[in-house]
Amino acid sequence: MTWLDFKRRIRDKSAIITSFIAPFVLASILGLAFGNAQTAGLVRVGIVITNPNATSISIVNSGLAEAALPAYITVKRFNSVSQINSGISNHTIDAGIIVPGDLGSKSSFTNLLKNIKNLYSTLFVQSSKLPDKYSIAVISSGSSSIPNQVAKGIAATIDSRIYTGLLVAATTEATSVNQTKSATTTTANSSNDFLSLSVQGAVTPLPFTLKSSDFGSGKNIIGYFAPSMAIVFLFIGAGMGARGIVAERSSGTLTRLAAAPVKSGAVVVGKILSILVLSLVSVFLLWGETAVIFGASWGNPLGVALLIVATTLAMCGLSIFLTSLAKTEQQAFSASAIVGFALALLGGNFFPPGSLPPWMQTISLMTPNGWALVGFGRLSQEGLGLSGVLGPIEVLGTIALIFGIASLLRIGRVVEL
Amino acid sequence: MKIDKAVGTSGLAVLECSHLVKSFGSRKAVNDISFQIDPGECYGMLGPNGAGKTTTISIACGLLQKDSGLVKVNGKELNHKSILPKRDIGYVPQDLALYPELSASDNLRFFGRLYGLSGRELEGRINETLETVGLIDRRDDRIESFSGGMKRRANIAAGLLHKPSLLVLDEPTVGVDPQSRNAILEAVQLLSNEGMAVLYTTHYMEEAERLCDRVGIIDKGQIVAEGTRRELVEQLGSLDRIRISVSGMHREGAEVLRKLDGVQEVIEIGDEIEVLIPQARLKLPSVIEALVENHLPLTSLEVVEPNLEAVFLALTGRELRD
Ligand SMILES: Nc1ncnc2c1ncn2[C@@H]1O[C@H](COP(=O)(O)OP(=O)(O)OP(=O)(O)O)[C@@H](O)[C@H]1O
Ligand SMILES: [Mg+2]
Repeated sequence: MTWLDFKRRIRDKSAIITSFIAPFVLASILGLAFGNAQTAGLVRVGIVITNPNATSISIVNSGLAEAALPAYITVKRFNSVSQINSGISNHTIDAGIIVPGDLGSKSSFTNLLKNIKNLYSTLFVQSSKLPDKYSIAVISSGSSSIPNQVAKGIAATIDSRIYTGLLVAATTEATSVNQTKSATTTTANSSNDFLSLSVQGAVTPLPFTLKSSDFGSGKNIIGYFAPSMAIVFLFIGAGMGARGIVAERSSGTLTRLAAAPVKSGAVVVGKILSILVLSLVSVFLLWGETAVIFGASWGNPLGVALLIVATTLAMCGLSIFLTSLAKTEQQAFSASAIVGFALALLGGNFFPPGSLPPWMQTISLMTPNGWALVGFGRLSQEGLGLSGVLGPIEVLGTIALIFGIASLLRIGRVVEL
Repeated sequence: MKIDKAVGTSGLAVLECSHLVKSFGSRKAVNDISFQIDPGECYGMLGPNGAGKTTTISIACGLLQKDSGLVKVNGKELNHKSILPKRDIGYVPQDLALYPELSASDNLRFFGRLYGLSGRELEGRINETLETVGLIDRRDDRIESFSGGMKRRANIAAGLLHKPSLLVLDEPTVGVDPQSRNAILEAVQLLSNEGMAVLYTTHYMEEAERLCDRVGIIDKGQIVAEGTRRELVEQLGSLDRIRISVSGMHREGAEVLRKLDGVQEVIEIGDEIEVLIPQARLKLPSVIEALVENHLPLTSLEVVEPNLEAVFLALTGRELRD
């Protein structure tokens, strides 16, 4: 019963478009619009600090934290430059970063300071003015430019930590000089104080984060927009399926089902199952497609799988319930289109992750798709595991339960003649 | 008309409907209808649009909840919640009830499973029924590619799959080309001769006359007459019918004819006049004379043998067809 119903649905062209083609196309368009799809793909970067010390380690750590790397970029620490080189030739890593060990030492900061003090007066900091010996080296096999770009980006972030530290120290010094001028005593302008200020500044995270840089740096944006679009079309697709039940009433096949020696409950359950199966298949297929074609990662597989199931049940439940309220097919069509798009707008399905203003975030959590997006965002953007999405799964499960029962009751009545 | 068939020998009726009543709002669609169908019998339900045929059938098949009355199928009571007794019925809805995007065989497979058929038995039945309705060579074509008549035939096949003891057909030939119509009538006749009981509704009296052992004439939710064709026609007594056309002046014509000696009833049907009169052939000259005397332009005149249509007309004062 479910299988034949399913077969029937996939022969319907509009069902194919809604369930399989449209979400893929839209996710690709949005992904390409908001992100740089070409950098997607698994990139493994090795990093080594030659002769590390506490300062250089903490500078590198805070640099990596600031880079907020997406899940498809992994950074592995090595102990020597030769390990990095062999990693690249063995293809266990795609690129390597070599951080000079005296980074953060007194001499390195003092040397840099000379440049910085000049530059600071004109309020310009340019990386090209960095003395060569302190620059961080990036190596890669050269055949693939994407890992090279990624490693350069990471190196630049670590670089910028040092500049940040220097700026903090220089600003503090300049302010204290101005203050002490009037107070005749000269502060101990020792380079030791300046050094510790610089290091402190270098390892302290910035008080703000640059959200816009998330997109330019090749964030895993399709991994977010794919489930986001899947959610929208889940709703519309399930509405179409449920509309089919209303349509069977007018097309007469429902009378034939009523004449058959089966319980009307079995008919309803069979039909709802076929809608769920088609919906699930379409989302899982989209997951696979975007992974293969764009190298997009939706995040932790177990988390993604469970979240897909919870989201499908919730969106289908709501959609089927809404359709079952409609008296005519036409009414059902308008209702699911209007509500579908209202939900998509309120829930934020068409916006890049984290771009909603706070008041809209609050509204989006009043929609099931808003909750699903929180979950998919945590998986694909924040790289959280299953435990990170249990909350959204719970909310979606509750929504699914409520509307699932409600639609079973409603559709049971539609099927009875 | 089949007279060579043994009917009602087992004593137990295949379908027994007693005092069925069903209202939609204030309209009584079925108003105390009772009838029964014996094994192997072909029962025709003849009535105009809106007479209550579909409603009666829907109750008999357990599709519709009745207000009151009793339905028994092979001795088992059946209502809209029944499951097992429905197995004995093969229901062919008035409107096409198939999935257009599936092939004929897929449709049959789907509905066959609902009746508990499966595997080789199901495949065998699919082929047999498609053979019966003459669609075996279109087995794997989608229903949407079928002509109207072929769709109708496929619709019937879906009701036959599980070899029901009672086949219920609701106006299966409406809007069907003569070729398909003939195929349908032949298939029903064949099944009936093989011993399947048939409930056949129609508003074509020729079909009822050709197929049915017994006919119930239904009008406004009630059975107004019931019996074999002969019994029904005999109800008319010795009245004959004369059908007359007087182009454009039927009203005046009817006035004139009503005053004529021996005329029992004059009915205007469209532009035509029907006159019920004993011994029509003897009265023809006086009919023509009366019309000519009154300067009515007589364009055609026909003496109609008594048939079910005449019975219906006499009972209700209306024609079967609109
Ligand atoms: N679901 C319904 N709701 C309201 N009225 C109905 C419904 N079904 C049938 N009726 C009314 O009941 C009466 C009998 O209808 P029914 O369909 O049984 O007639 P029928 O004899 O099958 O006519 P036809 O030859 O046109 O098929 C009609 O007046 C019809 O309008
Ligand atoms: Mg009808």
